[in-house]
This record gives sequence, structure tokens and C-alpha cells, in this order.
Amino acid sequence: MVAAILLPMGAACVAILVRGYAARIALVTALLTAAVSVVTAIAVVRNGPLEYAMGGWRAPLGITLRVDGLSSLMLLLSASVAVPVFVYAAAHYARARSDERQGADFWPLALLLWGGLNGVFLSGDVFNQYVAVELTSLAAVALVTLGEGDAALSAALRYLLSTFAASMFYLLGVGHLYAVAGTLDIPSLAGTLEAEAASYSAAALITVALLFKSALFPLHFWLPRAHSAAPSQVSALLSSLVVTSAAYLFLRLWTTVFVSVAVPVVGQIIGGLGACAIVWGSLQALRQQRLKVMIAYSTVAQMGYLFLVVPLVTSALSTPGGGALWGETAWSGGVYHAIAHALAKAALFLSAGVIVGAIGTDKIVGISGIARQLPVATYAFGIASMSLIGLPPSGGFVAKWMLLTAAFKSGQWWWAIAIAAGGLLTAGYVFLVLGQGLSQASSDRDVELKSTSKAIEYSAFALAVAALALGVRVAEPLALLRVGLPIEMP
Amino acid sequence: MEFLVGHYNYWVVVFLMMLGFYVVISRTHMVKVLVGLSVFQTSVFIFYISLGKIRGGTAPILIDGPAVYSNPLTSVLILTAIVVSIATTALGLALVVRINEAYGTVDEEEIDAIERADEAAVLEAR
Repeated sequence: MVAAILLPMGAACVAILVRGYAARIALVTALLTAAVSVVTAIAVVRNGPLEYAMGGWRAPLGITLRVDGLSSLMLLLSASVAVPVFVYAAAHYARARSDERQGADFWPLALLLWGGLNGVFLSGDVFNQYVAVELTSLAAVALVTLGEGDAALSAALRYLLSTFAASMFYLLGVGHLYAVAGTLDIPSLAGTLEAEAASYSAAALITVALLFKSALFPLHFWLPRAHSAAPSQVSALLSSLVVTSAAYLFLRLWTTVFVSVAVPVVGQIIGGLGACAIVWGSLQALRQQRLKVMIAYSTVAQMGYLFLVVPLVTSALSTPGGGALWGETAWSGGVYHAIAHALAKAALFLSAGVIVGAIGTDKIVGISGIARQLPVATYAFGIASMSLIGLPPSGGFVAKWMLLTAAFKSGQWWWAIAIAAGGLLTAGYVFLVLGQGLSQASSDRDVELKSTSKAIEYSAFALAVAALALGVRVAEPLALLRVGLPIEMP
Repeated sequence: MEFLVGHYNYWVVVFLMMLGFYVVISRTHMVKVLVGLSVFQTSVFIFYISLGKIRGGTAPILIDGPAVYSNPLTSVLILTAIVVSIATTALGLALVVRINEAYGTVDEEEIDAIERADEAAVLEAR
């Protein structure tokens, strides 16, 4: 369990020292870390939630790492996104000799990012989570600067300023929590928080900070630039894992620590922001002329779905029997959506990377007829889009179905409108791209593609297939999620 | 009145925080924004450290006999946070240097204008 954090971080240090072998070290580490994640998941299924006391000091004094079903699913997610992305990056840097220096910088940072993410997923202590989130953000900002051109630099600085202003709010909120409860351990905090002024301010500060980091409308302004200016393999990591890790933290804290101060009205407001994010992000995505900016706006829209869980779960918490009726469905649907979106979005960015790398421009009008030349990448784009829209059978469909069911059962039918409208708009913008891609090649474009390799195309394809497979095998992930459910619903 | 004087550390924190945050959102000069962020960070650090202080308490070291000592945990937490903030400030300043080399300015609005012009030129050229 500790290995899931230590392996990538240790490998990152080694990869800085021996830059020539960085790619090989990273690939071996990726496989080992993935194996550790799988072993952890099996252990969680067999023995229930696991705990590890760092340095042998138990909870009130020391820092504990905890794995329940949710953490374990997130570990698996980070591994299943990171491994294909690493394969893609290795193949990309092996071919593009001009990017050799960028490659040497990519590996340590990407490993550090992965270690930080696993730290966020495993920490059982709010301050430790702050440190893990900061590590992730530092690595993420540095990765954005690897992008081509000056725009990547200014995008990275803006990302840095907004993400660290948010971190300070988070840290301040943690300080309030400590002042009120005298502990930083999440399970100990969960029982002790009383409805008083300092608890409310702690909840408000941490909520704002995490909404900022997960780019919920209207705090999303930093995301499209940062995610589109980065190299495609970096965009895939950022858009699928980094924002999801902030949303994970939000859901975890809201359903454990802040249950006693979570007012239904605030839940409705956050859900409303989520609905706005779906509509606004999708409309913006429709208007974009560049492929990667479009996919980045799609992330803004898809993050909105995650926050529809908040009003559904908070209302279930305050209604007797609500948990069994719709609370658990909403909760599982939200987590399932996070996973399905992460896989599909990584697939989209990687296949966009293949296409953009081959034709040398990321204008959507420029990709006409690409399906004939890059069938695998276009197919991957298509399958991932299917999951994003929520067509059956795909992970996105299952997640949206559960969210819709929960919305109707709770009587809050208005969220169903946002979910359905979002699906429709998503279909609009992905079909714009697919329509161009499948059309006849326009005669004015000289069809001179830079060659790509099989590994690059198939790593995107593997991610897309994983998003699809989530729609076929639903029972296993949901069973894992139910192990050590962090919320107790009436 | 006693409420105001008794919690003077919090007033210092609130003042520094608002100052820092105001600089972050109002300035366009990127170095100034980073300085504002630093002030903001420092205010949070002071908040933590003053939280653990007990009047008349000593440092938490072993001495003979019973002693009143301040809570060391908040200071330890902030030690970690200071390390993180040094890293972020260094990264931010390094980025500003690179941006200055690339654009010849560190003013956010001027950079915006240059970027918009670039973007329009790229989209124009089919």
C-alpha cells in the first residue's frame, strides 16, 4: 500500500539522476505500481478496508494511510490511466528525436504526479492530503510548461496562481478544523464536528478550494488553457486524473467530515453549479475551433456531472430511508462517472495527440478525412466519445443511468434535465469532430502525414476500450466500491 | 473591546490575508501577484502558529517538573507547509523569468493581447 506512493516517487528521483534510462525506469515502475494497485484491490475485497500507520504511530499521534473500496478504485484508475499514457509517451519520445530533452523532463515529473495522486487517494489525514495535493499540483504545473510555444508558459503560470491560491484556502480550512476538533484524522473528525461558526467556515474554505481545483463552473477559467497548451500525454494525465483527485477529496470530505454541517441548500447550490457547468462547458466546447481546447472544455462539462451527486446525497442523508432508496445509487453513479470520464478523456486526449501529431495542426477543420489514414486513432476517439455521451453499453451510460435513477427517485427531477441536455450537447461536439474525420479528404490538403507508431495508436485505443468495458462489467467495480462505504445513510 | 484586543493575532492574520488576496486578484504584474500570494501564504502560517501558542507556555522540551508548553503540532505542520510554499514560489518565479524571455513583458494584460493576436493569426492562416 505504501509502495503505491513510494515506488513512483522513488523512481522519479532516480529518473532525474539517470536521464538516459528515464523512460525504461518509468515503464518498469508503472508496471510495478499497477501490480501493487491490483494486489491492494484484491486485499480490500478479501479483508475489507486496510490501514497503515506511518512509522508505527497510530491515529491520534501519527499519520495513517487508509484504503477502502473508494480509494482502491481510485488507485486502480490512476494505474489504468497512467500505464497506457506512459506507453504512449515512451513510443512518442522514442520516435520524435527533437523532443528528447522534453522526454527527459517528462518522466520524473509524471512519476511524481502519479505518486502525489496516490498520496491523495490513500491519505487518511487532512493535512497529509494537503501535502499530497500540493505535490500533485507542483508536478502538474511543471508538466504544463513542457508544451510547445510561449502559450504553455503563461498557461502554466496562471494554473500555478489559481491552484495555489486555492491550496491556501484549503490549508486555512484545515487550520479551522484543527482548531475546532483538535485532530486531523478523517475518521476522528467525522464524529466530532458540531454545527458552530468555525465548522461552517472550515467547510466553506475547503469546499471553495476543492471546487477551484476540480474546475467547477464558474471556477474553471484556468483549465481550458492549461490542459490544451500541455503536450497530449500530459493533458491526458491532467484532465483525467488531477481534476478527478480534487473531486474525490471533495466527495470524501463532504460525505464524512462535513455531514453535520452540510446544509441541503448548499447541496442544491453546488448541484446547480454542476448543472451550469454541464451546459456552459458543452456550449463552449461546441464553439471551439481547436481540437484540444474543445476536449478541455468537455472536461469542464463532465466535471459538472460529479457535483450533481452532492444535492442527491445530502438530501438522502437528511431523509430517513433515503440512503437505500437513492443515496447509494447516486453515490455509486457519481464515482462511476468519475472513473468512466477519466478513462474516456485520457483516450480522447491521446487519440487527439495522435491526430494532431500526424497532421501538424489542431484545427478541427484540418482533420477532414483522417479516418482513412488513422483508422485506429479515429476509432478510439469514437468509442471514447460514446462513453462521454453516455450511449450504451459504456461506462458513461451506466453512470448516467444511475444518476438519472437517483434524480427521479429523490423527486429532484430537475437534475435529469441537465443530465439529458449534457448528453445531447456532448453528442453535438464530438460528432462535429467525427463528422470532419469521416468526411472525404478535402482536395486542398496535401495528404502528407507524419508517421506514427502502432504503440501510440493502440495505447489510446486501450483506454477507450477500458471505458467501454466499464459498461459491460459493472458488478465488480460496484462491489469494490461498497467495501467500507465512507457514508452512513439513514 | 476585550474581544478585539484578546484576539489581536487573528486581526493580524485577517489583515495580511486580505492584503495578499487583494494583490493576487487586482494586479496584472506577475511578480506582484506572486508576492501577494506569498503574503497570503504567510498569513495562513501565522494563523496556525498563533493557534498553538499558550500564554506563558514554553517550547515543548523535556524539563524537570511539570511545565506548560505550547502545542508543537501546528509549528510542525507549518514547517512542512513552508517547504511547499518555497517550492511553489520558486517555480512561479522561474516561470516568470521564462515568460519574460518569451514575451518581453510580465504584465498579464499585455501577454493576453499578444496571445490573442497570435491565436487570430493562426486561425486566419488555413
